[in-house]
Amino acid sequence: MVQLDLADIQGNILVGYGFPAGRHQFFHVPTAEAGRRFLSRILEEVTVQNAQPWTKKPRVAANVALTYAGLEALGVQDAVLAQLPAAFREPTRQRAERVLGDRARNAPCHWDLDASESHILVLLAVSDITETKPDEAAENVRGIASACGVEPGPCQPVQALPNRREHFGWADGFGQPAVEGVPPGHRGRRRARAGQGVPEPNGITWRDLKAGEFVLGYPDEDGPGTLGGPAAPLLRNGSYLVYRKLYQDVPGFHRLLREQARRYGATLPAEAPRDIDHLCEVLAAKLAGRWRDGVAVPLRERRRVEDTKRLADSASRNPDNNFRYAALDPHGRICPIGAHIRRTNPRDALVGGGALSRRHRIIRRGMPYGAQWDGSEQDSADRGLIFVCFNADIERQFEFVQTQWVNDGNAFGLGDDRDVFAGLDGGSPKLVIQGDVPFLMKRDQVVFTRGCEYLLMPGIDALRDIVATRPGLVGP
Amino acid sequence: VSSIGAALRQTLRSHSDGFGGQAVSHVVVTLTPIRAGHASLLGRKLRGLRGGHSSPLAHLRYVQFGRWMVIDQLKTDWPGTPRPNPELKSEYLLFSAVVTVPADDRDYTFPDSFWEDVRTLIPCVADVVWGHCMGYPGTAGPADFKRYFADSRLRTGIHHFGYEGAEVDDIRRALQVRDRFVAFALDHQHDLGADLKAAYLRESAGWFS
Repeated sequence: MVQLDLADIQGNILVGYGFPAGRHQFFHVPTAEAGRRFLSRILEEVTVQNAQPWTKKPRVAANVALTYAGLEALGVQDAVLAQLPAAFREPTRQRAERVLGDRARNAPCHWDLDASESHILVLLAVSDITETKPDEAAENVRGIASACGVEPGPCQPVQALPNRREHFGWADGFGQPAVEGVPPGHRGRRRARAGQGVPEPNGITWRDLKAGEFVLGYPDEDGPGTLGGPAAPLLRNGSYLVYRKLYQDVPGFHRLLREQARRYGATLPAEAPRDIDHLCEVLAAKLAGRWRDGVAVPLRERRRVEDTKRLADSASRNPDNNFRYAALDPHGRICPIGAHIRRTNPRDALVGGGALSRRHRIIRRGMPYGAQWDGSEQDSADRGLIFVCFNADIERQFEFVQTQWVNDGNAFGLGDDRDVFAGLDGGSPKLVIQGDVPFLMKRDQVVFTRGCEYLLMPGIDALRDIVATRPGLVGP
Repeated sequence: VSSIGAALRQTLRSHSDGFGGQAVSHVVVTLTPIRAGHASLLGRKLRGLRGGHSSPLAHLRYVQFGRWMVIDQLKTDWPGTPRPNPELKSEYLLFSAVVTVPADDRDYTFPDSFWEDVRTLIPCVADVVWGHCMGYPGTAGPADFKRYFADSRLRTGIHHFGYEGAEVDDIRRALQVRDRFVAFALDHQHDLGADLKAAYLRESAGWFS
């Protein structure tokens, strides 16, 4: 079992905080000295991965991530920068358009979160909003920055919705990767972790993913993950953070769901319930692969009408994730092949069992932004998801999932069908819900990119090295 | 409706054999060293080219698929990497294309006709792209141009053809039919009997034309 240097790994990467609100404050560094001064001031406030669950939660958890431009601005040497991956080095606005497909209505010209001039991101999470106001926490950090000569950039509020919901109404955040080396107190029992790691060839058991898939410097799924060269001290115990602001057209989604649910009902057997609210829930579950309370469709294909009426008000605390696709549902009759959770983590559904899935996992730490929808057509306020994920290789993990599995259907034999939630403009106009009679649903884009940045969340020692201008890492 | 139905049946019959299957697919792969300091600029120019139907390669006859890639470094972070790590003498431009030549075009000789098409049909693109490579002679002289790519050609042992034996025009038509069929299914999946038949006859008449 790998031993993780927990005291050097920032918090919220391996184990989520689960705090109800936060602020994501970007900063611009005018000079390297000012930036390092600021880092030195906030370094002691940075929350690290603790070995045991908190007995008392901190009022505010703070984490620091740096853009590539930020590393340049802080004086990191060219030889170190040259060793960083191309996906991280390329300006994100350019890369998002070129690689991720953020074009047309998702193009950077439509983004309202422009962090392209920002260098440092401080992520603040508040454990109890009755004790600490998130805005006060952000103001406090801005005050420190100002005293150091560092300029504030955009500040993005985030706030959890009741029952762990995201804005379309699903309880979210389940099915996170089970990672080797996470302390036992955080891991949960083996049975609870089943379905979250790598499916083993025996068809029954699961093993935890190698930590190197998410934290740099540890064995990953294909190799020792050894770091070498001048960038090693910067990368060790760090993780790449993908930050995307995603606007959700909630009235539009519900309109689409309701319109299509009526048509979907016509493809179901005569004895199936025809209640329109129930059909909406069934279709929603088929699109996501989970019912709105988080229960996985592969484990529970049908719900009674009385059950579906209550889905909006409940969230499964720890829904069972122990399911596979290859043996029980190879053709998507239970959980459609294009369902969101099946696309983003196909488990054993692709050729080779879990071998193709295990190198493309991400840890998600997103939170909603904006007020909860009031249920009216008129309420089209700005709301959505601040998608945050951690991975060791942006290109192989996040970008692969987004471009090959979410924004394309080819890997699953679905042609150019795209994910109903995270798929972008273009592609085929349909989604297929497999069944005795397949249902072809019209697809409209309901989630739009409004910002994107790639960052590195370094280990604590790396941050100290930057502050101390360690020779070989920082300086001329 | 009946006359459309007859025309449709005739069209379907003419397509019932699918692709002709007589076309011959070829692959061309070239590797050309990039001039020192030019790789980044070349990469930007390649990124600026359009893809799909708007790609400059779409102007060439019979090209099913083609791409340029800048090879700026070798991957050395996988198990079994040779030690010491191999290093490239320069950065390289890799070009690969799949060309499917219809059986009835007896005048087209591969690869000479392909390179002549590149030289004459997309000369500006060729000069802009390969102009960053060492020794590139430009499109003015056919013999030098042909010799340069003959010398740069890589022999490949395994090829992947997306649609082997299918002509490019056939593939384009098939994709159009697929798109139209999907649109039809979305609009009429709940129609029954006579309604479905009438809609099919009305809308499908143009699918194969």
